[in-house]
Amino acid sequence: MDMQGNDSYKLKLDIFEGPLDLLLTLIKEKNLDIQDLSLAKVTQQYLDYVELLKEFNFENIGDYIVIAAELTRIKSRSLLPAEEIEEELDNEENELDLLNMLKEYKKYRLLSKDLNSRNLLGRDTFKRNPDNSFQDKTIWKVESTDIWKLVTSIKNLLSQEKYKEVPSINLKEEVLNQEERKSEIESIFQAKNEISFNEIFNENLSRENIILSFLIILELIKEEIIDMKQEINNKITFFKR
Amino acid sequence: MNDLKKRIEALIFISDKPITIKDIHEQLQEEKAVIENTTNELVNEWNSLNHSFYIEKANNGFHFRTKESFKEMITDYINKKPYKLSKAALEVLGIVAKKQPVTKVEIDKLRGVDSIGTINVLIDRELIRISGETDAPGRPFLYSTTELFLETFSLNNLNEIPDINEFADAEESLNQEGEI
Repeated sequence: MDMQGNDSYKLKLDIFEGPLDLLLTLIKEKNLDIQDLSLAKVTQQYLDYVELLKEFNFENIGDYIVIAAELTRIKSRSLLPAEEIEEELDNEENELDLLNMLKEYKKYRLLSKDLNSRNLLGRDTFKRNPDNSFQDKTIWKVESTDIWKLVTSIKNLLSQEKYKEVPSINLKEEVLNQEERKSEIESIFQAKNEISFNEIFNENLSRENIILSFLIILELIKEEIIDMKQEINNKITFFKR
Repeated sequence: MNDLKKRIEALIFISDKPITIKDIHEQLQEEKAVIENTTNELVNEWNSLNHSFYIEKANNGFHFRTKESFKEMITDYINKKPYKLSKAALEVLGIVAKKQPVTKVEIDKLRGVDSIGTINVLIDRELIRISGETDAPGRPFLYSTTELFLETFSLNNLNEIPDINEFADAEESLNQEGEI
């Protein structure tokens, strides 16, 4: 029964938009331009996120690691003296041109925002429907939840000293069961409409349990049972939909 | 003439999908140019009136739709859980719209991540479709946008989608000072 947890929870959620999205988010947070030096500056942060994503048993983690490798290369190059960079540049043909990838990706991200700002049938404007059934295919909305914000909060929580310790066998005292934890979380939401981040991710939980809880919360968001919002003080609140 | 306008109005009114000049022409057997002029007149007249709905031109057809200011009320009335499209889905949709016909490999390369789940969601929503396959090994599918895509986004053709190079210098609130 115990520790079936994480392994059976493989993340296939497309609410994660991908490594380039993560990278752009980090660059934007620091108010940097898209250039090599900016990439070098966010490399460590990006790697920290990837470490965390690994723990989530995230299906597309390979795509994140490819970018991580490229970032590390850019960062190490940024530490080299200029002459050596010239040499390096000569034999980099087979490497990813991350800078151009990012610039190109950003254009499409802006295009998707432009599409989203149009008057959309089934969201902003409606047509008559002969049988009044309003088929599902024409009624929709665009996801607005920013999952990276949630990941960031989890990351901050797990960066506390006590979670940094190498997990010892003693920690296994707490029996982790996915189903139990899920009904626990669901019952919290049955009792209240709004729940703070700290109520779900309280500091008595083990590292494993925090990650498991995060996966359950993601699933509940995906199933549109709950959603999250961010208060002015950056605190996340979950609420029932 | 006035009678023709009313007949066109009735056709637009009963249409579930945007009705084109060609559809109207086939039904009413009037000259196309006359129909086009009369329809445009009708659209201008109707849309200058203060009604809760207007005539939208989408996918090169004409369609009665409600004005945006009623969206909350209507959503509430329909009382159906809207289908949620992720931001990833909109991204893939934009890529397919611009690059079509396009393979999954090209989409993945642009986004830096496997997009098959998102592609399938969009196919299921009938916003994109498999429009062919390439000669490359494994004969990968090509994807294109659908007519429902144009209808949904109130577009008449793909040229109405902005050129992505217009976004090249657009900054999402990034500052320009940067670091040298």
